[in-house]
Amino acid sequence: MTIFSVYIINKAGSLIYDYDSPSVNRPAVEKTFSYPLELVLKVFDEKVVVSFGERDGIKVGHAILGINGVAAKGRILEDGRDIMETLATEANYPINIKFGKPHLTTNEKIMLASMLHSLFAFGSQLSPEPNSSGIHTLETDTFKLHCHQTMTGVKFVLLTDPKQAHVDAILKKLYEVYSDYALKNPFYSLDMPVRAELFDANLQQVIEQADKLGISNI
Amino acid sequence: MSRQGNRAGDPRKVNGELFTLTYGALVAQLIKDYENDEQVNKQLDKMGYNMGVRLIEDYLARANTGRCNDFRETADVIAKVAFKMYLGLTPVVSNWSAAGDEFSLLLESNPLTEFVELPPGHSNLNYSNIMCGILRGALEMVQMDVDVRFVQDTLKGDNITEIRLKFIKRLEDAVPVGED
Amino acid sequence: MADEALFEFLHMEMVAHVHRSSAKDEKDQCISTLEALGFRVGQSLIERFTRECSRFKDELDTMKFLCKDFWSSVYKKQIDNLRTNHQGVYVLQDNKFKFLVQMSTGKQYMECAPQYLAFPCGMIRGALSNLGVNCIVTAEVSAMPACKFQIQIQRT
Repeated sequence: MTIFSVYIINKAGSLIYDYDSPSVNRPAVEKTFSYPLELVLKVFDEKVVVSFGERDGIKVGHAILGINGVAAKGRILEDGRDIMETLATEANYPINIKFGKPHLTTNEKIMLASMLHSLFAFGSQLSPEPNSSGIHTLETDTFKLHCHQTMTGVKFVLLTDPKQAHVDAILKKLYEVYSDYALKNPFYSLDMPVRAELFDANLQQVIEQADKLGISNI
Repeated sequence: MSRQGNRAGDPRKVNGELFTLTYGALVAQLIKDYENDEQVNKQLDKMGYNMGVRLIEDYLARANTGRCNDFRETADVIAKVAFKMYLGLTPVVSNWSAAGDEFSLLLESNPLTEFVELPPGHSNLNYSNIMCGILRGALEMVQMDVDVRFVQDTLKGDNITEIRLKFIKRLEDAVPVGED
Repeated sequence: MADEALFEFLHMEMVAHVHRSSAKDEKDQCISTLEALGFRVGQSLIERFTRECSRFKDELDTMKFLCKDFWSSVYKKQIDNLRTNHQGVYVLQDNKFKFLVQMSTGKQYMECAPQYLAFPCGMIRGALSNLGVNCIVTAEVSAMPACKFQIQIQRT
């Protein structure tokens, strides 16, 4: 039972909150290289990705997630070094590089959120019966997307393990957190991104408890 | 200590007097800030609106009510669920218009005016106008454009307090697609 | 009995209104208006809360009433810690102050805390003044949602 991510989309279709669970293990491959690097890398969409040279589980399209244990943040490392420059310098070798599926950037999330917003509407248009609801769940082999739309038009989207149970209760709980810690916070303006630490903390608490104890205890 | 005040009770409820007195202080401040009663009414309505658009989410998150099928159901829910939940009272729904697009909420007692007597020279003041704003704001968020106003007020010597709600239109543009 | 959400939103709107109607650089003005509003509310409230209780023995007894009964009636909890230097200064600590609980549990929004504490400070001052205690009340926050109210008795 795992919850991967939470997204909140306002009634206009913009993403106002996103949260990715840190406990989710994203498969990553680590390997130590010597100079020169056999892989062909390129910068794509502010990330350094493998464009040629699949080997040892490193796939084309994988991004560099870290070098020598230092995590990558886009095209630079957390300590400020440029990744491409670091890899081009012979003195830095042998070097340990961590590859994996790239994380979504905020921009990508915003784009996906507005796509989901349209897709949701699409669902109700396709329906042979009038007044059908929008998409509630979207299922794949590896995860399930649950969407709950409130009467005011705010969408709560939850990405979970396909076997996650009691999702409705979690979604309801999240709505309560939103109404308690976003709307009752005097500094939050309606329809704008939620940037309050207390909201983060409470949302994470709901997710963690749902993960650990099962829904009956939250 | 032998003094056991009026504590206890539902933890979600605040002391009614605190609420009433705070509201009173606010109205008094507005009377000081603005020149005439119309402006005070307007400001109260505006503040109510700001409260309503947020309060509705609190309401929806806590009360398990689905979308209303018609305006009659809306009236019932406002009176029996929402008023009960937030003010602990249940107004009577009555005076329906023939078309079913207008009704009144009749309040025998109004917690906001419990200790109030209107000062002379404020005959145009709608003391509890914030309620209109709250209702208007909350209903707008569920895509209903509704006109809300006071038609009778015990503060002004009427026998009962009457809030009139008139349905203007459904805000089609704002209706979320794929509503359940 | 009103729901707490309603009261919180009312307080929020009140702060916002006072803030809007005072000019930009008049932050003090804004705080004192809110404080004055709280004063009036506190004055009337204490009148009702003390209807059925005996006279207070002394100042400390009054403070205890404030921390226990008054606080529970208004905020649904008691003050967590009361301290005094026995020379007219009392410090009331509330570890989960109602108006801050919904806002933050750390440093975020710290600079805005004073405007949300002016009304409660005024309420304390109003309540005490009606019990014959003249004082100055200030609030101090180091980590939300905890808050310390300092009451300085003014003797004449």
